[in-house]
Amino acid sequence: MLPILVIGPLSIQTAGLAWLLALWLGLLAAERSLPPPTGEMRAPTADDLYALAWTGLLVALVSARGLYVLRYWEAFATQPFSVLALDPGLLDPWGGIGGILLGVEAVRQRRQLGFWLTLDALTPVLAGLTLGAATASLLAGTAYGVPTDLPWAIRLWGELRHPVQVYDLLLSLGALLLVWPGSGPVLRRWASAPPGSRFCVWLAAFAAAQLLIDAWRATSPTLLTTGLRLPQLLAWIALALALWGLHHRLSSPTHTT
Amino acid sequence: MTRRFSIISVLILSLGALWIGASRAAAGTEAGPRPPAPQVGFSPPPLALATLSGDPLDIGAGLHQPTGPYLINFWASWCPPCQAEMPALQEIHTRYRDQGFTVITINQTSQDDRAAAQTLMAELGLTFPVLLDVQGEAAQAYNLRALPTTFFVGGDGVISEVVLGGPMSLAALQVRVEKLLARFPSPGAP
Repeated sequence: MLPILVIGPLSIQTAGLAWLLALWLGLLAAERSLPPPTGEMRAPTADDLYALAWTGLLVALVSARGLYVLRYWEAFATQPFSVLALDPGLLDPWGGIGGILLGVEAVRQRRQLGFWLTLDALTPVLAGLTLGAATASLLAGTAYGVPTDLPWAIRLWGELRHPVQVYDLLLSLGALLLVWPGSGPVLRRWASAPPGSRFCVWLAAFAAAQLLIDAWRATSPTLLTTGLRLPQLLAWIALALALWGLHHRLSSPTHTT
Repeated sequence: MTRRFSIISVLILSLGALWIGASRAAAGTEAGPRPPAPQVGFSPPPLALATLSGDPLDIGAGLHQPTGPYLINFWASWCPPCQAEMPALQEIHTRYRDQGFTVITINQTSQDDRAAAQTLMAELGLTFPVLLDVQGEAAQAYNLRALPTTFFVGGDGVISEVVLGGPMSLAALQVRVEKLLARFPSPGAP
């Protein structure tokens, strides 16, 4: 666990650093494995990719902060400069998710990019970001596991616990390798697959991994009194959507192998 | 191919649903109360320190601990972000003290000069309780890595948020404090 990196007078939050590195890694992988155009649909170029990523992030940041400020308007009305505070705690997660979807969709429509091809192009970025989230949790000691006496348990917050962050890191890395451009055969396979299959395969792998490891996470919220873990339910829905999407893409009449 | 894919998909989803049900039983398997730790979801590590004026104050356990929600802010007089957020902390102390919210600050006296801390307090007109961490025991117990660091603790005695670094604006503090007061209203508050 290393939540803060002290370099001279600077104290850097390593979680933020992990997110930035993951974004860079994801963009690098995405740029080197852009999907080929299919039929009349326009595939994203490197220029489109960066426009999608930066616009999505910018709109996400603005909407996450904007929604937070609106929710707590009373506090911000008398101190308008606080709206610009460099405080990651002042972000609304739903505003961020909505913002990124809106930003990406706006760029996609403006540049007339194919829906599935855009998802395929952004898949390595998503895979990189999920790897970043797992790394950030490991460094900050958040999203920790339940107590256990297994030989590979780690001592964290006063007890021996399941190293859930390590499980998450390894499985996210595996999901990233599925879409990593370094391997020639894999890249050729993706090139011949119907648009959208790359995204669906990654989403299925990621969702299945989360569904599995969340059983050992101590911080998961549960659904009211049922005891059902909310992240697992969301992962199951994502897995079902990914499998349905993959089925839909593979049986698409435009798909020719 | 399509039929085989559908069968495999249904099998995977069924296994997933079974796993969700099976891991529900394992939910909350932490035996007994969680040990104190400087992390969200845990109770703050117990501390018994004296204030600048010599009064005892306990955190986490003990006779002199706050009864409602509170925050613990670690600071030093030589730290510019700590100095910058002091007026906002004072405002929170003045505004929410009567509603049952307590502001506690811990001066890192082991890395600071007590006289310099007192001068800063007088200059800024700070009246909230300041504990002195003379031996560095609080810094060690709270795994302190950066200054300032602020822990927000609910009325249930569980840490709800940890903010590393600063300065926090008054609005940022106000929102966090009001959220805690909404969750844990003080019975005696107006």
